[in-house]
Amino acid sequence: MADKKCTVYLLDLGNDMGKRYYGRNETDLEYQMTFVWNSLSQRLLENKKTDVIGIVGFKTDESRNDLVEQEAYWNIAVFYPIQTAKFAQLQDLRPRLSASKTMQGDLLSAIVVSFDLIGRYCKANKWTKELFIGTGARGTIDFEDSDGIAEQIAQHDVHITLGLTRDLKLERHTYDNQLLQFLEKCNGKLLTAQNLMEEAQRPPIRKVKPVPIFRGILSLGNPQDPDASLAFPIERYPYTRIAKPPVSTAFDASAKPSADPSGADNDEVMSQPNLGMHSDVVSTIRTYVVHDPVKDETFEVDRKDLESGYSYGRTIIPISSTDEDIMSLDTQAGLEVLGFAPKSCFPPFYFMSETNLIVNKKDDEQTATQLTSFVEAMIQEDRYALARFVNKNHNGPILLVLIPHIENGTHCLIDVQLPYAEDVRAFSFPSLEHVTTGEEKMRVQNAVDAYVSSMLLDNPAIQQSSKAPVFEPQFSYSVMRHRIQQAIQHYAFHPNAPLPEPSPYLVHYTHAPEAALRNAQDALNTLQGVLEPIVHEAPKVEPAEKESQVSVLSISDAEIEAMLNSTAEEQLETEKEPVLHVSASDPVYTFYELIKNPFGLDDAITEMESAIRLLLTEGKLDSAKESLIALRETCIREDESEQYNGFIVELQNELISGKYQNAMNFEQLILQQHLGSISFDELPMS
Amino acid sequence: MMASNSENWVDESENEYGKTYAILFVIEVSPSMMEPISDVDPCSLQTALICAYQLAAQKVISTPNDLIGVLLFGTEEATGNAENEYVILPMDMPDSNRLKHLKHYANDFDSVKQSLRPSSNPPSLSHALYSASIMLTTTKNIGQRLFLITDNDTPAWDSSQKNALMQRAKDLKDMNIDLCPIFLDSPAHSFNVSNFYREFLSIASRNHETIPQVQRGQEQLNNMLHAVRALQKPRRAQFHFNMELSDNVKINVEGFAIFRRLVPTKTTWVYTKGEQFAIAVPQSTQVSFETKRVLKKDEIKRAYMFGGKQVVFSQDELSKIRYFGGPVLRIIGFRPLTTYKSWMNVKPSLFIRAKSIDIKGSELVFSALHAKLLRDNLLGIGWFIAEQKATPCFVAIIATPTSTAVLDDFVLPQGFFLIQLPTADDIRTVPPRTKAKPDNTLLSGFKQIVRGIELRSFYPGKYSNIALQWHYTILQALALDEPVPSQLVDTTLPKYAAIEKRVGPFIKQVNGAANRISRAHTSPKAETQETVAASEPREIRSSSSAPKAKRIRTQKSNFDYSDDTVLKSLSDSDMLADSLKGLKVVNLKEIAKRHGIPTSGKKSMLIEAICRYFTGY
Repeated sequence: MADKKCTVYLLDLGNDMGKRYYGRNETDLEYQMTFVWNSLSQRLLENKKTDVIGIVGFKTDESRNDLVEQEAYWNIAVFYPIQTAKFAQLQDLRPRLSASKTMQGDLLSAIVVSFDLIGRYCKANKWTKELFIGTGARGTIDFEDSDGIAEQIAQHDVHITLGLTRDLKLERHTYDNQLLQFLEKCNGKLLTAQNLMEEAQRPPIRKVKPVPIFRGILSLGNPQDPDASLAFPIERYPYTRIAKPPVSTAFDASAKPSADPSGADNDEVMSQPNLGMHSDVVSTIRTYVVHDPVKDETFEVDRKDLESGYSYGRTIIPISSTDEDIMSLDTQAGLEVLGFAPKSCFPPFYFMSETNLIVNKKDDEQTATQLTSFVEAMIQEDRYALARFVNKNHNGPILLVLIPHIENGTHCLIDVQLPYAEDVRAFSFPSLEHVTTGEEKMRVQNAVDAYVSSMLLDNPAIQQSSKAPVFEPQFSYSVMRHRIQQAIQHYAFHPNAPLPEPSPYLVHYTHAPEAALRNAQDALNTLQGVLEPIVHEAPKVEPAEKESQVSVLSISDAEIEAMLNSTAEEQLETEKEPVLHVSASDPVYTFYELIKNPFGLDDAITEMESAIRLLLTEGKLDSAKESLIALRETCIREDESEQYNGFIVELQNELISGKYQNAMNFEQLILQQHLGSISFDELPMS
Repeated sequence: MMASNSENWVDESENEYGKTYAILFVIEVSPSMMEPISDVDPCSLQTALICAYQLAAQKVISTPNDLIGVLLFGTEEATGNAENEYVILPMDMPDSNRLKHLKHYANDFDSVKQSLRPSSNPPSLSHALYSASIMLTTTKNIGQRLFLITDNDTPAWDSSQKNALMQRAKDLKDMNIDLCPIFLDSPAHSFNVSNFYREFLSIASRNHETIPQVQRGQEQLNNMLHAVRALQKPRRAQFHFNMELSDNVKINVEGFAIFRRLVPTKTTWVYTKGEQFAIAVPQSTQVSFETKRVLKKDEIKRAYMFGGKQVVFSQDELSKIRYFGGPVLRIIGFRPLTTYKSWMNVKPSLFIRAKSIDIKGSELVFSALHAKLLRDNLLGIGWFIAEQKATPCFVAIIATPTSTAVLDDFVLPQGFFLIQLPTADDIRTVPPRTKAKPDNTLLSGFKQIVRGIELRSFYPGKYSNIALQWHYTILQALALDEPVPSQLVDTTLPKYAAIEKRVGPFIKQVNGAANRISRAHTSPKAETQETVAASEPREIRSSSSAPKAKRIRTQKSNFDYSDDTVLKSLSDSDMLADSLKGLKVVNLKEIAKRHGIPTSGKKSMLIEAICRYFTGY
């Protein structure tokens, strides 16, 4: 397959590369290496076995290559034979990739050495072959037989990228034209010094090889009846998929450092760490635990004594007791159109999934015209199709909307999943109040209108002052993924330096453009005046001074609900609402409030008794105790001891009979706290 | 796993929506409740019981942790200490026994009618509500709902009774019990809310603007079920965050995951060696590979591979790296609505509404923003962090239209939907395809077809998930020991007959034109290959055994397994084995016993033995 990739970096390490030109801060070598290290880091992060690299230097002090017997190949060194990129080795190599003392060493000879390396590694197998050449291209270049070399390179499909650190506008050399001609003959690509920097800063995007997730028939009408149905052989590819951040593995930090912590010998790719190689490997032990409700204890069971099953409420149905295929459906794989509807029937907030692309079957030119015409008909009629999709026989069907789309000039369909009735959760919302009258409300509406109009991203004035283009998904990046990659890369090279801020490309859309906010400042000030922080501790409804605003804004449902949900105490404080009943949420307070009314005593006592029973049922024992104390004291003071004694005896009986499961030992508490029947000597002496 | 919280913004909040509820049906028993509505329609009491059963059966699937109970009041007989109160189902989680019990009351009403005789005393609502509150409060920290079903619009017969009831109303509110009444017409007159309940509900109920009243008649059951479903709608938000118009101007908003893919429950591990089946809960412990010692949480760090090197982070360091600020929806700017393209989707949308929690006036600004975006056909672009630790993303903020058209059960709520936008990392490349030009003959044919089978509309809820329905139908049958039902009608299949009727001629025309085109474009050899390729999938389909299996499945529960001639004829047509699969083991043993076939062994062995028997019958 074409996704195996072999890249050789051919690096100019000549004496000139160590110098700074045209007032740059970096030497040419640093310029070049920024690009190279960035490119290598991506490969280190991805850790793919099918992505190999090699590093060759020329104009080096040493000469080390297979062709070194000929003088033409002197001052060329193979630093890193082709293999997967390994951090430890590359790190060791780093000091050696510095400017040499010489200007000897021929570029074309070095290309031949690199080509030879690639040729011997890739043989006749299918690889994507790339050769990056980083050079200032100063000094002499031997163009003898360059046509033959270029021909070979083109023939073997080696893609050359020439990264020229020298600025051609400021500095020209004799061989430049020949070099560029040579590059053209190889079908190579030139990166100027500026390009190199841009490339080095370009956010890395990992390309995933497209693999169809469905091959089958898109049909309309009964597929069993070829005369009465349409059928297009199609393939379905993922179009959007949320990119996952890098995967980490657990690591035993308490283990002694293993002999080779860099893992230089570890040839495994990252998802399969070679277990047993290091003492710091964490392994997961899985156990199965069963709870016995009768004895209220849990015990461990053996995996082999387990069967799979379903729970239906609390009933357990082991699946082996029935045929497993009883659950499966008699469905057949396929994509069937149910009908068409105007696209307004499918607003994007109904979409449930990542999107996919439906294209005609590969190498099926005949049906391409059909599918193209079909898609074109949908475009012209401005209709989307509703379809039923079964990806595999016996799987449940899903609902898709098929949306006509033109990708790279090819007619195709985008599909995305729609909700079933079961996928909709019925929340209820009151309708939004759309304001047209009221001075204050109009003021808000006008301010919001002005705010929105000042913040139009496509406004050229805002565009010009902004560093980045107008927001588009294609220009945004998966923040978490890139940040973690940045951290990994950073700590690999600089274990002790603090982590730098996220790269600018990650954060430039996370705030509104400054120019937009400046435009909107007046509107924002107005809105800021309207919005008031609600301080929960303070009384909610302020008297007098703020009255005008309160009356215009009126109390929203939400505020009413907030008040309803506030605690009874808070509410009472703020509103001085008369207490009419004993409340279970604050029995003692409400009880005392109630008995302030001389006629409320009898009711208050009865209600308190119910409240205490309720609190016991709920297991709110502290509150029940407090309530009982209040009730008892009141009964003593008000000479209602008979009432209390009758109640407490009844309650004690109920407690002993186990009526209140959440109030264990409460009867003992009654005794300990002396909350039993009121005796004679407790009564006030009259 | 480390990646877990980068997944769905919905999954993390599942518990919020799935808050457990205790649901208690309190149903009045009286002569009028017992009077059949017509010869075919059951009385109101039975209808209410059927309604309770159906809700319970549905609960066990959707929210199996909810508690459910049924209390009747006004009966002559009493089950507990309270007079004239009959508890059919104490509060508990549903299981198959409890469901069967309730179903017995609902479906075999005539056989239980006797024990549910109305009492000669007037039914006391205040006592019933007191008992109900006791039943409901046995469990803490869950939502409590009380469905009161009655046709008596004057439950207070004197002033003291009225006072008692008004106090109950206050108690219910204090105890945070959500009172949901469903009022039925009595045989004599329609229910009058003003007689008593308006005042009562103004104290007891928070949403007294909607009081479901169910008319007497054929649709009573459906209307009642509808009312119960509507009353169950949660009002609670799943996310709370601020919408930032700028650094200083913020409003409070709440997020609701209205759309979420519902899939059949996963299988669990069942321990079958004990006295009863029990769920085995998997637990994982992380140990050192070398020493097998159990590791403490802070001993485990996370390692990323970087070209063979482990780059190690502690959990703290990782949390810091992953932190991009607290929950927020920050507005970046606005763009024309047309800049949103249909492919820019990755997950279900999130609905937001303003709710002033600590910033007053949030609703007002929110409404104004909604009006503005709708009027100018704009969308907002936002930087969104749903909650602490959530993966940040960019969202399109889209206002819902003000149309209040009610499409069956689905009412499009008014507010904004947040649609997560894909990033450059999330957009895949697609292999190029050869470009083709549309053909004019085909195009005009397709346009006729596209116009010809126009659907009236699409709205969420129009189609049912048959895979889910089937899964639970089977599960319910197995749990309640009922015969496994015949194949569910696949409502998601296209209406083939209608398609043929409406656009049949155009399909023929298009197919004809397509054949001509491909013939003109290909050599004879390629053409034969093409026809083979095109017809192949169809042949596979028509010859596949699936449709046949479908027929068998429809029959299997219908045949009378006690009739040997039926079994014999099934055996003759080679369909016996398949038919028997649909039976329970008990039934198979019955057949086996009848013919002296050994009844031990697995189901498959039993079927085999019975088949053998009938082949040589």
